Amino acid sequence: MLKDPEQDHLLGFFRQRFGITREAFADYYLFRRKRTVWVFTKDDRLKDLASLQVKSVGIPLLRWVGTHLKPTSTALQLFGVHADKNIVTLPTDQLRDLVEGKEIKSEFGCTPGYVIVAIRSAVIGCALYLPGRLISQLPRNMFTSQTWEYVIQDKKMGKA
Amino acid sequence: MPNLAPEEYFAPFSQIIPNFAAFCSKLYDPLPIHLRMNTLKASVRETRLRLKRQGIALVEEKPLNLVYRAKNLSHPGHLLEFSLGHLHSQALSSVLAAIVLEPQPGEAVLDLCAAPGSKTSLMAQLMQNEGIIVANDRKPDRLIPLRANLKRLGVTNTVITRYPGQHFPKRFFFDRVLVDVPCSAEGTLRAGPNGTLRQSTWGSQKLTRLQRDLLLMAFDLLKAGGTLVYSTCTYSPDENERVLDFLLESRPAEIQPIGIDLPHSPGLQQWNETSYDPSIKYCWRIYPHQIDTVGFFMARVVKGS
Repeated sequence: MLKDPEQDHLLGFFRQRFGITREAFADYYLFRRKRTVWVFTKDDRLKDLASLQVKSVGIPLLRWVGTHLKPTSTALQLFGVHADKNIVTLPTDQLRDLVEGKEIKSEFGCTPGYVIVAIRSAVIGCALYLPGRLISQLPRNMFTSQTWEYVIQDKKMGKA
Repeated sequence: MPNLAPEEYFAPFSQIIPNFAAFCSKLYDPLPIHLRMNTLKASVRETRLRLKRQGIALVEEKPLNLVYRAKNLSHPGHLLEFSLGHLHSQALSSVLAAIVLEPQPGEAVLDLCAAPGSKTSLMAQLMQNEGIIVANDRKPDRLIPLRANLKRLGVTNTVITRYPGQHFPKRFFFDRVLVDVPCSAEGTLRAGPNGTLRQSTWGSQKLTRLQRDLLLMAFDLLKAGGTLVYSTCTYSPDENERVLDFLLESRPAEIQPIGIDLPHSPGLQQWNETSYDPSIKYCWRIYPHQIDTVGFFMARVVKGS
């Protein structure tokens, strides 16, 4: 389990970068294993499980990439609803381009760094914004090519 | 091994399956697609609305308000909502096993044979991600889909372990245990394009010993007064009633009635001239002509204090 200074640093990152306050993480423990930090529902009995050979705990929250913190798409899908800045909302055709590895050339009114990618009704995950460029950080296997057939059909009906 | 028509394949069970002709007839239909809405990441209403906009027709499976049959969808894994974890493709009978266990927020729950995590993630959903679930599976390659599903579905209260279930350490005891054992999986069989079933490569006999050992361990890991659900997706009494009967002979276990209003058949009282404990009638046998899903067996067992 993380000690207070490191936990403060990580939660400070979420507050400063995305406007997600400490309260959003109040019900969770944070654990670090190598360069990945994991989030797990708070429960006093967790220490009693320490005698088991545990393979993993909860879900990945973020990773250290060099000296930078990079949030996982999984975590942003859960905690991104509490964010109020550095959010890029894309139309579905641009999301498709992003997922397929194309950079989206545009200014998004964000500060450079990791951003939350969303479509109108849902948080999708993480991308990297550099001035005028948006680069996917989404897992490569997150969607299939057929996913877009459904999404485009949704868009044609004027609802996406 | 030759492939057989349903009538031939299941002939040994013709006396125990009610309305055997209707049962066989149903096996010529493809398995329906059921979607379980994942309220850990999106509301049922929101997900239903998004699917409706994509032209997907949903029929609610009452009385379960989380599960819908998708009538015009062949590959739910292609949906954006699947990738985002707003829903999960899961057989209706598999959903029932977790619902019958009734895990409560704040409890300690063990899923002894957890991969690929469909039932584990539903239990986390029923517990509102509160309390602790230990999701165990012995095979390293099965931990990969287990981890991926728990991550995608936003499950934050689960610890993954990798023990042979029958040797799980008795160091921590649980309010509830799900033991969905490896089985011959006859309940998943539906006729292919040529009208035959591919024979299972798993014989019932070699599984029965493992199933007994897993059930005994699951029971031993319960706190006094705790509840377990034993389930299989097969019809063989050797993998079902016989295993439960062995538990009743070996431990202070009580089989309880299952309080859900859905069509099913009771557990058998006798098979191949062997009689079983009368309380085994409280087990559920689910056949596809009763509920159009994977054939299933489940029992709700309580540990005496």
